[in-house]
Parts: sequence; C-alpha cells; structure tokens
Amino acid sequence: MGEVIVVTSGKGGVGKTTTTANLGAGLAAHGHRVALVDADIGLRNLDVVLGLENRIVYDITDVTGGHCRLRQALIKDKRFEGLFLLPAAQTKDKTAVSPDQMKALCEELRQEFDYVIIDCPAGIEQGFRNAIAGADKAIVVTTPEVAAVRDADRIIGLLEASELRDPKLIINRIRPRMVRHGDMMSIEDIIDILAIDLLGVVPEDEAVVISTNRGEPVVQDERSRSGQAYRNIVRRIKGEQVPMMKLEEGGLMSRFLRRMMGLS
Amino acid sequence: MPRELVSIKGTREGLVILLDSTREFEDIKLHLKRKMESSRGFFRGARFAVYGQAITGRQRSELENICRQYGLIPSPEISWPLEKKVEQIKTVLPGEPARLVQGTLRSGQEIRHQGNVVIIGNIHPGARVVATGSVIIMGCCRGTVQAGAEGNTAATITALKLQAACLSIAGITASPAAIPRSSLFPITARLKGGRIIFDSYRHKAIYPAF
Repeated sequence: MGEVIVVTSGKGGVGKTTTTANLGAGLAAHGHRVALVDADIGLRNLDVVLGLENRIVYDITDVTGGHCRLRQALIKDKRFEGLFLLPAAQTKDKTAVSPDQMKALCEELRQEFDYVIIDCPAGIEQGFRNAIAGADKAIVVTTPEVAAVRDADRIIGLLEASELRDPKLIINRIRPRMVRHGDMMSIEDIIDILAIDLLGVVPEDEAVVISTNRGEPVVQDERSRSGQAYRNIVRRIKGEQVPMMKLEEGGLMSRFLRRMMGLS
Repeated sequence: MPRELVSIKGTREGLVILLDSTREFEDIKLHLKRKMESSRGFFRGARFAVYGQAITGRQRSELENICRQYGLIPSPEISWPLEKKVEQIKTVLPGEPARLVQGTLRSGQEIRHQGNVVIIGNIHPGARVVATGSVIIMGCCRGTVQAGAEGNTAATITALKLQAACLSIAGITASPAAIPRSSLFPITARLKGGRIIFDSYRHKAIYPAF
C-alpha cells in the first residue's frame, strides 16, 4: 500500500507543478513506483513539465467518467523506470471530478504504486477540495514572499480542518544573497510565521527554467544546486535524515574575498 | 426514620429550628405555628436560628417573623454543623466564564463568541477573533481582534506579544503606530478617554524590578 501525498500552496506560481515533477522523478530514480496525478483540470501543466504532452490519449475525467480503464490513461515515462502520469483534462473544468471520485481514484492507485503524488491547483475552491480528498499527507510549497506565505498559512488551516495534520513545508526560489542583505524573508522568518516542519529549501536557479522548458526534471541534473535540493527532499520523504544544504555558494574564504572586492 | 417537618434542637448557643425542605413551604409554616402555639410561651426569650436546605431568604425571614411573634430572638450566628457544610459547597467562585480555544488561528479562521475568549496559541495575519467580552491570547497576536464587540467599553485585549495586529475595543480601533512593537511582558489594551491605551502587565504582577 503506497502513500498519497498532495502538493499544494494556495497561491499560484510558487512551484507546485515543478516540485511534483521533481519529487516524482527523484523517487522513481530511487527505484520506487510513482504515480503523478495532475488535479489542475482545465489548466494542465504537469505533462508539459515532464515532457509527456504529446503522448496523452486519455485523461483523469475519462477515468472517473468510466470512458477508459485507469491503466489506459496512465502515461509511462520512458526515462524513469516506474514513473507514471495521470494527466488532467484540458477541455473541462474543476467540477468535472468530485471529491468522492478522487478518493476512489487514489485508493485504486495506491494499490499499485509506492507513492501517489497529486499536483493541486491554486486556490481554495473545488479544485483544492478534490486534490486533497484522497491524500494522507500534504506538502505545502511557498516562496519567500508575504503573499505566498499568507496563502500557505490559510492552506495549512484548511488542511488541518480536513484532518490532514502536520503538513511539511518546502520553501522554493530562495535567494541567499537577498536574504543576507535583508531584502528577502529568511527561512527562520517563514518557519516562525507558519510553525510547521521544514522538508526542504530550493534555491532560485536558472537551471530550473531551462530544464522545465526542455521537459526534463532538474532533479537529474547532477551539477545544479536546485537538483541537489530536490534530491535531498526525496531522501527526506523516504525517511532518511539529511542535513539542510548550505545555501551560500563557495566557502568562507571565497565569500570573504568577494566581499572585500565589493562583488556581493 | 421519617423526618419531622419542623424539629427544634437545643444547643449551647441557643435553639436550632430544623426544616425538612422537601415538603411544601406552607405546611412547614403551619407546622411551626402549631409548635409555637403548643409550647405556650416556653421558648419566650430564647435565641434561635433557622436551618433548612433550599429555602429562600424571603421564606427564611417569614419563618423568623413567626418565631418573633412568640417572643423568640433571631440570632443567625448559632451554628449547626451538618447544615453548615452544605452552605459552604454552595459558595460561588468569583469571575466570569470564558471560551477556551486550544491552538493557533491561521489565516481565514475566525472565532466569534458572546463573552470572553482565551486562546492558547497564536493569531496569524488574516485570522480574526470577535468577542463581546475580553480576549486573552497566550501567544503572539498578528491578526484582527475585536473585543467588546457589542459596545462593552470595559473589555480588554491581553497578549504575550503584539506584532502588526489590528485591535479594536467597543468599535474603537487602535492606531497601528500606538501599538508597542516589543515588550518583555504581556501587554494589555484597554479603553481610556475614547482611545485605546496599552500598558505592560508588569505593574500588576509580582515580578522583581530589573
């Protein structure tokens, strides 16, 4: 029996879909069987980020509507053994699926997969209700901005009201230099406000933009810092104790020298 | 053993008149009158006290007046041990009831209550508490708190910490600039002269000065 994890944030554009794709690919790279579910019906993106767009035949509403079997709708990712995607419908909206149908779908998926990761749409309306209906764990993604943190707080309250206790936090797109200069909220500031456990911190990284456009998850990029951050988060989900990555680039000496030369 | 409606006991301090208050009050009154009548002035000049569970103050003075007519002198200080115990249990503790909320209020969550509210946790930005009485926050308040919501100007707001909170008492809103940013001690907001003032809880407590 696998576990069902929903990736949510409240605010849009903080990196839910990127996080879902990378966690899925990362867990599959560890040899797990993983199903990714795009619950963002009407605005599907997860297939694009994974580079599977042109392979969609059936989608989630075809499964819940009984037009095809679940196995027919699941798209196998050829790069990662064990990674599958259940895409969202693009021509319908959030009312096309009900929370009960999502619950049944998650039950069916967890029989076959080690991890079922649901990409939740932005907002707190029916799309959100559908996405969390079948989940037993939640990951909240936020960026170091007041609006994103405020929305994350609202989401955590709603998750708790739906018996999804102890959600874990991923802070995305942090810029260590801006934090050091006091121009951006720090990890400590965000934890202080949200008061939940931190699962990981992903630094702002151009490699994410490049890999997303190419449809290749950054988690497989050995050289990028964001890829390293996602690999660490994957190991934490598996239950390993991994220390938080040092966000500042370079050692103490090079930082000192840079500061002396007025470069940072 | 069936209890008598009215029984009279002699103690060192005086007479104790015991009532069986499970019976009709009119019967008790009648019985007492009959007892006094039949004593033919035997009790005249004696001091007495009336004891009975669940009798009202008015009923008590009515019974005392009957005894007075027969020359008895009321003296409530006469003690009767068994009944006294019951009286002590009836004692009402001072104070008002309050609703206890355990846990942090997150953005979008709201507590509305007729009366006082105590929150064990923080109030996050975007969360709201509306109470007709006072509000006590055992944590950091960053959200909206309305105390005395129906016009109770004596209501107060107390928090361990206030940060960018939006506070109002009886419809009067505190100006954000007046809210103290940090304090070693809990802060209480109250109305004074049509404005909200803030004072540290310190002067009322027994903390040593440092």
